Amino acid sequence: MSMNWPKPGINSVGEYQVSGRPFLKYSNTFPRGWASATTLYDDITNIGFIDFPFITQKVIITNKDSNNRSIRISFASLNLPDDTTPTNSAVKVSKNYIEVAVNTTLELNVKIKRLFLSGVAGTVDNIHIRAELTHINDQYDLTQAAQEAADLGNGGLSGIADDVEPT
Amino acid sequence: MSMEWPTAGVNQVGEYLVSGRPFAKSGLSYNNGWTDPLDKYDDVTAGDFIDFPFITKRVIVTNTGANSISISFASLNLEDAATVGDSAVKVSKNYFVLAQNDSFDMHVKIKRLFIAGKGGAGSGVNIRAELTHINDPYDLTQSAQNAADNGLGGLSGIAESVKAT
Repeated sequence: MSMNWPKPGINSVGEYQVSGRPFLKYSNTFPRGWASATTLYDDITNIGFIDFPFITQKVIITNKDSNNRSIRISFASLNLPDDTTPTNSAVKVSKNYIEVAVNTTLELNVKIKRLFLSGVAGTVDNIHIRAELTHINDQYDLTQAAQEAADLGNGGLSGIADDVEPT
Repeated sequence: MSMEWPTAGVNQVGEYLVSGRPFAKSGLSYNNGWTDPLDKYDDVTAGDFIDFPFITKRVIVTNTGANSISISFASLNLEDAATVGDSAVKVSKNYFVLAQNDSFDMHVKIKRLFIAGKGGAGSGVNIRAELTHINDPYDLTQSAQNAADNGLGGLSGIAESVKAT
């Protein structure tokens, strides 16, 4: 019989009730993902994302870009193809993103493992990221989950990538 | 059979659900830890940190002084893995900067917070916290060093790339 404690899963309530393990990354740079308002952008190859070591309780993004540029964040990759026009991005077309203007802060109490960030009018810098983490070690890959939902005939994940082309 | 109650551990949920034991310190000053943007700084010897008597539920730091301050959850004196003499926290940008009149508010569990002046000595630093009654070292500097020594590099978001001892 194993004497190890079971590891917490993605819905282990207590992991979200205790205060978080801190996470800080100051002054990050991200590429321009929005040269086109609709077409695919490979934010994985171009490092337009940040990974957290554990599932988050809360993320706080502050945009202090030196060129006063906005950023857009999403929970799935901009490289997921849209179902209607596969050269377009499902996230862009379905508007499954949040824009954070310069000198503003966005706080979200969400569980994620990866957050996609990119500049709208150009490369962005001075993007400060804070998070309150659980100790849950789970992939929780929402890009993959949206693709799988499309492959199962469900279109995608509403609010994350609504309308993804099946593979 | 022991008649003592077990003490609360760091993940004791109830300790975070009840309202916190208050903690307040105002008008604190800290040395400049950033005379060099990358070099290690011995904030432990200089006293540039604050210890809480118990594990925190929430920490709120306000900088009313003229100079900016940096906040980190591991010491600026942890050695970077790539360059001897550099600070792992500085190189990996695992810190946050508060300009004058900025505040920092996070629901995090910590026992020690490192604070240093940036661009000069820090002053007028006000710290509030909501505390549990959990008595645990929860030493994230040591944890980052241990992670490096175990071949894991460090702790992501705290001190990511620490030189193994």
